[in-house]
Amino acid sequence: MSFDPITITRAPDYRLDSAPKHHPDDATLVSYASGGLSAGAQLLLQCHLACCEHCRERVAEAEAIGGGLLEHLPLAQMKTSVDDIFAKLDLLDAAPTFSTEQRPVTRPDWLPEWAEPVAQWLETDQNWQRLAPGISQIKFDQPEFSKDKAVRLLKISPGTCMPSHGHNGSELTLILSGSYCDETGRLCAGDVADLDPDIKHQPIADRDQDCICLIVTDAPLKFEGWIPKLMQPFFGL
Amino acid sequence: MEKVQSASQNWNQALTEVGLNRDREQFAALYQHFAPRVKTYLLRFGLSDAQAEELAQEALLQVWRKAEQYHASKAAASTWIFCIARNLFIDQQRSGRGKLENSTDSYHEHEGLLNHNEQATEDDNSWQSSQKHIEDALKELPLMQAQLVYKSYYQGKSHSEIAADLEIPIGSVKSGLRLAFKKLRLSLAAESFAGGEML
Repeated sequence: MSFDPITITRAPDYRLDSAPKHHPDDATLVSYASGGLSAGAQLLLQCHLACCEHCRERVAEAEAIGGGLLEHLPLAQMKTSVDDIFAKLDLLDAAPTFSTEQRPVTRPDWLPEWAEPVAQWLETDQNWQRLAPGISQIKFDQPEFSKDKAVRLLKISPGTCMPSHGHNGSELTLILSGSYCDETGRLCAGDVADLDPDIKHQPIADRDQDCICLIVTDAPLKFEGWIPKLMQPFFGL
Repeated sequence: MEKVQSASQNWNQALTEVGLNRDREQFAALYQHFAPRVKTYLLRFGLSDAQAEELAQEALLQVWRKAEQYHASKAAASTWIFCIARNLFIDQQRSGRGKLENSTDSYHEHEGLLNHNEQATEDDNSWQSSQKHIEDALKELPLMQAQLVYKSYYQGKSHSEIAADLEIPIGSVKSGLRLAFKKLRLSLAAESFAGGEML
């Protein structure tokens, strides 16, 4: 499966009812632009960018820095001459343009249009796996995500209180539907929580509907208290 | 007096022509300017010479194929080509083709390389002078921040990889990159005001 997401030329533009208010850290946007994000984090950012003009502009600036740096690189010796390249262009132009037929991806009802890239990683008839009362998950174990500690979808029933936890590494959360509140405020569809390792938080899902989020971690979460510790094995961390 | 277009706009124009008219002469110029730079970019990621050569070629062939999608109003040609090269590298890395040799270790070791490229052709002069902004801005960064930019852009490393490399907390990687970005984007904005936006 190809990752061919981040060319600035075809950023889709979906409007949400209200523009996202919680954005990834600038440092995360820079890493997206420079190609440094893990596959999971890149997937998450791709979805957020599809619905966030503010961050698309930031990424364009970070990519322009990349372009500027490219201009400044010393020249390597190319062995392929312009004539060789022209010969390849002839071949390219003569070749019939076969359409790269993408396998049609069905998007489940709970997945918003702007988060379509997530759909390709779901199995058909993928079931939510119950972790604890009111909490279930779908974990992405594909080899493409081997550099991520964990990439998962979490579904939290209305009013459910997550255990308070900190992190060893960073945690990126994208709200796909519903909303939750924690120490940093209220997060709604399209919002991203980009938490530094030293931040502890305790999300509580709002009461009206399930809260579904995409969560990408790059180090084990640290839970506190005995009940959360018992839960930790269920999270598979 | 006629305004002289900056070289950056010349490249934007050339790429636009390739997209509109399949202009081979313009493509040849783009190839000669950008392919050697894209190859260096890929070598920095630790690709072998042969791999970098192949991928740089592929990047420029994509430029030919996708040129119609380029819009000069959205990005400079150099930025667009940077994105193509970056995406190709990400794809190739994830598909498991090609093992990486050790990548160059630090910005410090390569600081000098930013200066030694004086092979600009005649029409490069004005672009060079406007590009000075970003180069200067990079040099003015504290060494640690420059190191973070280097590891992000030239080695494609993640925050946690950089934290491990430099033995500093992830929080420091993020705050350093944040500050560096703030300074670099200011210099970029200054550049587009000072640069050739007078058409």
